[in-house]
Amino acid sequence: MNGYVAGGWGATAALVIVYAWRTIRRGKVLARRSAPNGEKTWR
Amino acid sequence: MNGTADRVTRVLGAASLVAVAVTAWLGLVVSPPDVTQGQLVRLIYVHPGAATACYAGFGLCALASLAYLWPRTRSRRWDRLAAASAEVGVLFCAITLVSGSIWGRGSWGVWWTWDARLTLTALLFAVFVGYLALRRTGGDPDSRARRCAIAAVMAAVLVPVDHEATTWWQTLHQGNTLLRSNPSIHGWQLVSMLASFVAYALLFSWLLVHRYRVEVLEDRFEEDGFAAALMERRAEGGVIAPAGVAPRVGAEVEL
Amino acid sequence: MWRDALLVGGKDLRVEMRSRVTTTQVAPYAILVLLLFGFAFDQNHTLLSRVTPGLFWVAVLLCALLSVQRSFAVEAADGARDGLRLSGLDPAGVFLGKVAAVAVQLAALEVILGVGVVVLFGTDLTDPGLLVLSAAAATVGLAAAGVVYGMMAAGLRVRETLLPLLVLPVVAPVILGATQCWMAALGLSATDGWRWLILLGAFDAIYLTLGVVGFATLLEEA
Repeated sequence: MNGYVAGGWGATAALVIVYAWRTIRRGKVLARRSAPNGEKTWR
Repeated sequence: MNGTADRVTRVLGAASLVAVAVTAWLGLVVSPPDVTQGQLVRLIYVHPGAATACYAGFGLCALASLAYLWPRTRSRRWDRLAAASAEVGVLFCAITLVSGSIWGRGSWGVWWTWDARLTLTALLFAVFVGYLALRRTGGDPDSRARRCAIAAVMAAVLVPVDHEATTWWQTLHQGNTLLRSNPSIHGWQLVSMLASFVAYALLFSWLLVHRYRVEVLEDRFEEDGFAAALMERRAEGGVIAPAGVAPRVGAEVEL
Repeated sequence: MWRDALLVGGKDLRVEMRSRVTTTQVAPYAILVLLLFGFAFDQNHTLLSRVTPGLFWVAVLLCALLSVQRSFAVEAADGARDGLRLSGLDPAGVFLGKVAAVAVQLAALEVILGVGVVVLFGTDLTDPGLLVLSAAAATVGLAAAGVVYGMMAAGLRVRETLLPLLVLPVVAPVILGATQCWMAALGLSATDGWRWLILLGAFDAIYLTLGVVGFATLLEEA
């Protein structure tokens, strides 16, 4: 393991995790907003 | 079950996690360092997989756009798929560029090289960033869908031209080609690389499903916004609005 | 289609000649860009004449963006775009007419820039054959791609910032090809210029076709 390997793997992981988190969270926010009567899914 | 999640995404997500963990273990621990590249070869488990996922995303976007433009298969589903796959594609494109750059810095001491593949990837990145910007514009969803679909198809048509151009350009500056050659790969390195492709495929699918569903929700949100605004206008104008929950005005959101 | 193209192209050029925007604004802008390159590269004559092809084509590209924006801005007022849509003109003809008008204006700007480059950078414009042919091919390519994306962005509020973002990555092969042709023609590089000319031709064919086929849809959406 050296600095570049850690950098490459780390950057990749960071990008994937941040993107996934933001997308999933946006889904939850939108689902909540568009169905005030309780149902909270995308269907 | 909340938001865009359901059993499918939980399974995909869990599988992705396992695949990533296996790849990490194989790539960082089990497989040996390379004869020529040393520890740096471990980046081969991060870079090519991302590139493949990126091309898959952009390719899917182009195909979905074609399906949307073709009158017989026109459906908002394709538009949403195009939007989702473009964004996920851009994510993996960024990963490709960043990991490629880091690898280059480690191997040759430079953050960038005008290698044909990297240059082409950078161009594609720029083109699809533009596509994503185009997606954020426009009022009428159908106009926007059509405009974006045309842009995506045009981008796809240009890929062979760009590929030729960057390849010719690189052969003018012969130096870089030699250094780019992949190490001959076998044994644990080969297994790890295959594992990385599986992991990327699963990650791609998982993210795509979530992003597609977010797009469905965005569309519904936009339509409801119009509907709510319409109701407000009507109420202002003195037209009596029906009591209770506002009905979903307009076409049903197809999934 | 060709008659409509002549009609629209003629109209655009006539508007241009009466308003003289290209001569009074875009041409000075082009010269200014060259001057600024001089400042940026610290009046290094040897360097400037060696990189002339690149600088020339970047300057042309910047002017092309302006010309395309202008080509659509003239129709933004008074619902002229709706008029265009309802006029019954063949959309492919409208596309070709606009491309022709932009290309003509760009050609004029290129002559000015050519003179500028000889004067300001001390470049020696030898072998005019390949220079002119590649310039023609590149101009058509820039105009065609510009008009297609210009139409796409025309009705949008963010068109000024969106158009460059859409056009620049797409015309990268044109800049690459044109620069390589000019470097070969000026003896600055050993590359085979004619091969790059083929690339420019392919790009032109693709974008002209895409424009002719797709303009009807784009015109509706604007």
